Amino acid sequence: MLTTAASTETVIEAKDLSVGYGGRAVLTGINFTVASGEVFVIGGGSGCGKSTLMKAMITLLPPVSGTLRITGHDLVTGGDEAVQQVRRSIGVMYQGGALFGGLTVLENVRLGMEEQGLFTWTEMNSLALSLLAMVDLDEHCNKMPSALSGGMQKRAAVARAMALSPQIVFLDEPSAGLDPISSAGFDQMVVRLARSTGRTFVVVTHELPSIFTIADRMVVLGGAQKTQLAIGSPKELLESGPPDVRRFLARQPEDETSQGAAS
Amino acid sequence: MSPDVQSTAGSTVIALEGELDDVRVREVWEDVVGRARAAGTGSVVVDASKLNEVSGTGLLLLAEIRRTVVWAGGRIEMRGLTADQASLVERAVGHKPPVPREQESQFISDVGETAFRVLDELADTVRFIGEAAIDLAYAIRRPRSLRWRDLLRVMGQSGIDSMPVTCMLSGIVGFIIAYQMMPALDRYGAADQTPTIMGFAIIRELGPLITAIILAGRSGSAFAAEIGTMKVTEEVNALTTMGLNPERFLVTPRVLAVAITTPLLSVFASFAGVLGGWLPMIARDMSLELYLQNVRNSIDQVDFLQGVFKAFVFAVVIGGIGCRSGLKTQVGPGAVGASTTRAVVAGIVAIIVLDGVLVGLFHALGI
Repeated sequence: MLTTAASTETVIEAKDLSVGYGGRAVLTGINFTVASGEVFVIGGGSGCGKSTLMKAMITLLPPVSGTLRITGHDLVTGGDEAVQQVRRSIGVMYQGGALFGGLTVLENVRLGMEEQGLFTWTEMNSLALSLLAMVDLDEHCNKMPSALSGGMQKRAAVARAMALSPQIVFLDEPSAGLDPISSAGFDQMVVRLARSTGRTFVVVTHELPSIFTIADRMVVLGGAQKTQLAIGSPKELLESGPPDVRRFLARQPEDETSQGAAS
Repeated sequence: MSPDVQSTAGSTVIALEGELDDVRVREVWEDVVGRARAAGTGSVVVDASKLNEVSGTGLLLLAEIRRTVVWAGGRIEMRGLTADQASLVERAVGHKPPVPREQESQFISDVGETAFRVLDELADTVRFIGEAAIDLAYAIRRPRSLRWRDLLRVMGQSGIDSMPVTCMLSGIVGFIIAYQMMPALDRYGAADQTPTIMGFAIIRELGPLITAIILAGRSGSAFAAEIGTMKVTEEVNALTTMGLNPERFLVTPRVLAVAITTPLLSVFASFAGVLGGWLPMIARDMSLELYLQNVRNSIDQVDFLQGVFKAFVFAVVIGGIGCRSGLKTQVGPGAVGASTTRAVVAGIVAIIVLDGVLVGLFHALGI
């Protein structure tokens, strides 16, 4: 189930992409590529459109215009066929975990495999257990999601996202609602999974410690500018990115005096 | 103690003394702000150097003075404030808030928009129930595709758990109808016809209808709340991105479950209603055997099947409406509650309207 391919194949390509709701763009001029095996972070302040961009990438929101190619399928021109293909090649961890409350942790992980119908019952159970072991939850496999802590639910959701051997795993705000220690533990787990499985991880977050721990490269979005501000590794951007981006990464609010002058 | 104000041509000096606490601010507010306004485009100096203490409200007064003067196009100078106080007061001069535009009366366009929205909703609901019926047929052809555990759980909740309340209500309604009808029938000396009427009223109409109303209140609302919560917690999105069709996954087992249990429940409800109708007859010395025999003679198999068929149709409609309300849940704290309410109200309205349509249809078909 696990592959350790370290090729530099492009798995995500956004070109002149606009995303938004009801045909009205919230973000325009998005351009980036993500290589296979990378941990790529989509960052930026609150309300900058991170989640909107991610929703477009995980097929929940049709892009407005441009090109958005995920594993070779263009979501702008490809229609329903492309959407189905993309869904087969991605796994998503939602912000709150979004585990199915009526199923145990193991059943949550197994569900996608059951519907896929490729494996026997025994195979599915041992695959699901192995996935849970990768996120240190194998001993909790028979608990209901409500019996787990927030951090555990998120880890279980990562295991579920990886269940159908996706090429790309999307993580939505993994640090939200976690204490600093759990959050750091989660970051280490992401790095470990990315290195050991060779999967591509796309992570939406604004947590700076997370960004510096996990990101190979990142794109920073600007809410006011409604477009991307910069792309590169967090370290590069902190040292030589545009002023707005450096301020974001250095955790500096907008200058008090410049705000006063603007009024 | 009023503030010391000196006005010369084009220049006003407002000197504040003592303590600017909440009580004092209220006393001087109108006076001071009025004078600042009167200064127009001239210059205003606020001297706060003799103030001992400035409360939070006091700073708001200073901010109001500053805002009044700046908006009027005048110049202002604040003396005697600490740097922190001054910077806080300076922040108060933002931009003039936009004046809300007068809402024009849009009665006619509102009526039109509402009408179109209701029609759209109706068309969408019919389409949804149609799709649910197609999914149902698919699930029956391919039973492996069904979520059996969900199916059995919902069957338990909507069938066995609903049994006591449905039978009790139906029995009481049967009792009331028989009791109220007997004096009217007595006038024509036809009180012994009560079983005939009970047979028709309960088995053809009220048994299925009462069952459906309980179903809307118990299961329709539960479907909307369950699926609505799953929508809010992104579980529906999770199904979608896993490549599983939320309609087939969530709607089919629920609608199928109520489609199986409701006709059965309706049979029990009808029996309870008929039994309830016997209670007033005890006073007339009618034995249960005779009463049931009369009821039995008044109806035939077609009447019975008509009731069962109605219950089946009501179940699919209520189940469909409940699930659709859940899937249409918006975001926000009241969203699930709104969906639940919509499921119950729309469900009850739909079945009563549909009952009218079915009565007309059966009549036209001569059944």
